[in-house]
Amino acid sequence: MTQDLLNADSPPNPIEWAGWGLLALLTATILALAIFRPTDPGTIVDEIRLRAGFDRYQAAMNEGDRLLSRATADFRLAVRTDDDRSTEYAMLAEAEQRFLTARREAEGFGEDQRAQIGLLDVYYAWAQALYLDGTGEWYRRNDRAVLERARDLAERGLALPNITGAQRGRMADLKTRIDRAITPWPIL
Amino acid sequence: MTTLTLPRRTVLGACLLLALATLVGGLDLPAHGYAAFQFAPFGLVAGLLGIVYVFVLSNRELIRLGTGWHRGLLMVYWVAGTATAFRILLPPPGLVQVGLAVTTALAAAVIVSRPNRESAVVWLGIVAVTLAVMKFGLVPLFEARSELPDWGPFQLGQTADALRDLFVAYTPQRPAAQAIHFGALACYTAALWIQWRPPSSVDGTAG
Repeated sequence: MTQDLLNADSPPNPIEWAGWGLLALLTATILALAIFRPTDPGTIVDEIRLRAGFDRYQAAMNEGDRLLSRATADFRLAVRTDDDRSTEYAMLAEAEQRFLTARREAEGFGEDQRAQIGLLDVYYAWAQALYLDGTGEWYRRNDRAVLERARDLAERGLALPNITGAQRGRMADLKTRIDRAITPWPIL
Repeated sequence: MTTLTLPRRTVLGACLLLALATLVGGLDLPAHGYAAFQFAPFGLVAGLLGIVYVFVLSNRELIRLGTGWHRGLLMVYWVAGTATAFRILLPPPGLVQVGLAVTTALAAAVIVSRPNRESAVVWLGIVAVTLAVMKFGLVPLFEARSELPDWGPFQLGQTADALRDLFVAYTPQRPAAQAIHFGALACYTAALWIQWRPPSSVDGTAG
């Protein structure tokens, strides 16, 4: 206790200064985590790169790829088809924004095409999930609003200028299925 | 009441432990979804409970806020640490949380009425253990045993989910989450412990 009281009046030694520094660092970390809400260690690095303007193209591509693969994995893992997919849709919307950022930051045709292929994959996964949501069991009526949203996404994918023929064909097939679900008897 | 001064190193140690508890206790490891981890600091309910409990604990001298600038600094970290502890211990939103939050607030009256520090700290432990049993024992059991199947057009599963969310919107976490949350509570307990010894009064006599 006597030593403590002496310490209270004496100037801080280097170890104590380090302690105060550590406290400031911990507090800053808590505030940064609370404000930026990262969800992955890689996200922290990519967010820093995006905000600092350092290699923004690659950071945006990494984030887009990560979000897309997580959403796709979640869709595969879903046991019940009527599970709420709002989290996955939010991920896909975020991935879309990342790939759009990558397109803006792209330098040259190759980088732009990579970003467009990423976008197409996002639109395909999103439209397919919406298609499954909109077409339920035989005794249920198809959800026209959901299917129209899926068709809109498919059309956005098909409007991308630099995707390959195979990718365009895959998306066109999905759009045909969606169209048929919206209008089962086109002749009428 | 005698004005008490806390050694600066004790203040620093308590603040470090409470900051660590706030940091670690705010981390969630969701079992589903895309997030590898999430940082979710305490909300309004846990924050208010933190303020109430810091008042109660300082009144019973379980925590010592010192004097001068130490007092403001310690108050901030104790409130953050206590609120984080309640964030860990309270179940997710729903009627169960409402009942437990109100009961916990009422339990503060029991703690403040204890005749000595030892009795008060035991009651604090009882509150913590009761909340932990409810959150980590009862809620997952309720979640696991309250599913209903979907039979064709009769979507009993959806109805059961909606009803269950009314009571507690349970979000399962990976097992490691319990370990890191226990670590946060251990840091909080260590912060209580390092300033347990009565400090000196301003005139130099031990309190």
